[in-house]
Amino acid sequence: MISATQIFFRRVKSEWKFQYNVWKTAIDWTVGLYILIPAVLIGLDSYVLLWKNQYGWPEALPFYWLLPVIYLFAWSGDIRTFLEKGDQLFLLQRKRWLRRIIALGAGYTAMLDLLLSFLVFSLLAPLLFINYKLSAVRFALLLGFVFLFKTNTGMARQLFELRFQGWKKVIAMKIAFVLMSFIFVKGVIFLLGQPRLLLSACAVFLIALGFLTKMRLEVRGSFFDDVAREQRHRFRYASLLLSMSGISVKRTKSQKRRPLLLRSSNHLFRKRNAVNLLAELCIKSVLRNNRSLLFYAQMVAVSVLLVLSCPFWWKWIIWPGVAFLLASLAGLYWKEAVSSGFVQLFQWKPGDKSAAAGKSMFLLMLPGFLLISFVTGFQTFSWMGACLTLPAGIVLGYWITKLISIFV
Amino acid sequence: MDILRVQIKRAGYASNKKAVENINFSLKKGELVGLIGPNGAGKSTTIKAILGLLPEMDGELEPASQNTRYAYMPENPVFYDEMTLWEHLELAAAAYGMERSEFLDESGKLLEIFRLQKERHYLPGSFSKGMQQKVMLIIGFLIKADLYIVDEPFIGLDPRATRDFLSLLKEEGKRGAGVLMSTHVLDTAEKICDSFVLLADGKLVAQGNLAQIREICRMPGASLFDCFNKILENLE
Repeated sequence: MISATQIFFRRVKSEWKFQYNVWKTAIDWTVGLYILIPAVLIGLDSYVLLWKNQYGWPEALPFYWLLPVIYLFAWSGDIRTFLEKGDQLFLLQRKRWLRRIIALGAGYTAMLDLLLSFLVFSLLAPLLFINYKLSAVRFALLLGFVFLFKTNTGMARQLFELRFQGWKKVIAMKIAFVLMSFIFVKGVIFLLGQPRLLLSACAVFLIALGFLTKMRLEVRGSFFDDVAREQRHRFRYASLLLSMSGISVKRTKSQKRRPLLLRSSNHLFRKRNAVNLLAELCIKSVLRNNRSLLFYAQMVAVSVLLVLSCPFWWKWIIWPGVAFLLASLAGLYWKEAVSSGFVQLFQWKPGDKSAAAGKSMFLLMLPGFLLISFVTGFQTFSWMGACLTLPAGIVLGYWITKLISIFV
Repeated sequence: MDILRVQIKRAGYASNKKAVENINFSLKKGELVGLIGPNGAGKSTTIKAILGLLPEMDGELEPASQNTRYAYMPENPVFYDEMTLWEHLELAAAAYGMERSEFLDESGKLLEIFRLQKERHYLPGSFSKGMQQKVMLIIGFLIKADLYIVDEPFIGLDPRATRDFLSLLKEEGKRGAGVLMSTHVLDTAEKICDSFVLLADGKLVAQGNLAQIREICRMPGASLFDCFNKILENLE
C-alpha cells in the first residue's frame, strides 16, 4: 500500500520534472549555445580572477554593503508543503498523512535552503576570505547562521501569513522586513567578532526552528492556503515564461476581497473610453500585483546599480538600453493583461488595443526610467545633468515604447 | 426577421476537425432558442464556432447586419484577479462605446437586480461561483445586445438569481433581442424557450418548437425531458 512518504517523494519528483520541462522549453540549444554557455564561461573566468584578487572594486566595497545582499537572500524563500487540490478527496480525512507530508515538505525546504546557502557562500567566498579576511571557522559559522536565519524566517513568515490577511498582513510584513534587516546587519557585524556567541545564536535558531515546525504542523484550516501557495510555486517560472508568449496561467481563487490600492475603483484617466480603460486595466493589474511590482522594482534597482558602477561613457550607452529593457518589461505586462479571457469576450475597434498598449507601456516604464535618468545625469554632469536628463528621459521613453508597442 | 443564420458544414479543432457537422438553424428577432444535447454533443463547440473561436470552420454565419451587437455569457466566468467588479463593468461598457450616463443607469439597475451593489468595489476573483456567474450575466445584459449567446447559465445560480435572469431574458426578447442558450436544465428550457436545437455526437438530430419535437418522437403531451431521452435512445 502507498504511504504518505511515497506520495511526497512522487510529488517532489513530479515537481522537478515539471520545472525541468518548463526551462527546457525556454532554453533550447541556440539559447544554450549562444547565451548560457558563454555566460557560464565568463562567470567562471571572473570567479577565478576574484580568487586571484585581480579586480580593484572589491577593495572599495565595505563589508556592511555586502550584508544587505546576504540579508535579501536570507529573507527570501518559503516553506513548501506539496499539498494538492485533489487531497481534499481523501487526504484531508487522514490527518497523520497530511502532517507527514507537510513535515517532509519543511525538511525538503530546509535541505534546499542549505544547498542554496552553500552555493551563495561559494560565490561570496573569494570576497569573504581575501577581502574581508574571514577565517574558515567564522566563514562556516556565518554560513550556518544565514542558513538557519533563512529557514526560521521562512517558517515564521508562513505562520504569520496563515494567521493574518489583508492590509494588516502587508504592513506588518513590510515593517518586519525593515526591522529584521537592521537586526541582521548589526547582529552579524557584532557576532562575527564573537565566534562563541555566533555559535550560540545558531543553537538558539536551531531550537527555534524545532518550535516553529511544531507550531506549523499544528495549524488547523490552512489547507486551501497551502494549496494556493503550492500552485503559485509550481507555476512561478511557467507563468513568467508563458506570459512572454501572451498566455496567462489560471490562478487559484483569491482570498483578497478588495484591492489595497485604488480601493474604490478610482479612475486613473478622466476620459472613460476604450483606449483609456484598457490602459488603466494594464496599469492597475501591475500596481495591485505584488509579484509584478517586486519584479519591476528589482529591474530598476539592478539598472541603477549598473549605471552607478559603469565608467562615464558607458553610462550613456546603458541609458537607452535600460529604456528598452523597461519598455519590454512593460510590454510583457501588457501582453499578460490583454491575453485574458475577459478581454476576448468583447469586440474591440481596430486600433484601440495598440493605442492602449503604447499608453500603458509608456506610463508603466516612466517612473523607473526617470529615476535611472536622474542617476545617470547626476553622476555625469551633477544637478545640471539631472535636470536635463529628466525631460530627455520622457522623450526617449516615449519613442522607445512607441516603437516596441508596434511589436507586442 | 432572422437575426442569425447558422450553416456549419463542419467545424472543430486541429486534432478533431469535424467536432460538429451539418448544423443548420436560424434565430429570429425576439426568439429564444435552446441548444440542448447530452455531454459531449457539441453544444459548446457550436457556440465557439458561432463566435469565431475555432481554428477549423467550414460554413457560413449570417448576422442580420454588420452592426449586430452580440453578448456572450460563458459557462466558466472569466475575470482579472486584480480588477474590481465595477472596473470590469466599465471596461465592458467602454468596449461597446456606451455613453457614460447610459452605463451608470444600466449598471446601477443590474447591480441592484442581482443584489451586488455592496460588492461593486470587490474583486470578482474572491466571489463564489454563483456570484461570479451573476457578474457574467450583468456584463452580458449591460450592453443591450441584439443577440445573446448564453452557455449553461444556470450553474451555480440561486433560485432568485435564476428567476431574475429569466425575467431579464424575457424583457430582452420583448425588445427584439434573440437568445441562443445552451443548457442541460430541460424543465426550465421547456418553459422559456420558443424552439430547440437538439445535438448529439456533433450532429443536429432534431429541431423545432415543443409541439414539433413531440411530433418527431411521437409522444404527444410529453415533456421535453422525455422527448430528449426518447430521441437519444432511438439514436443508440
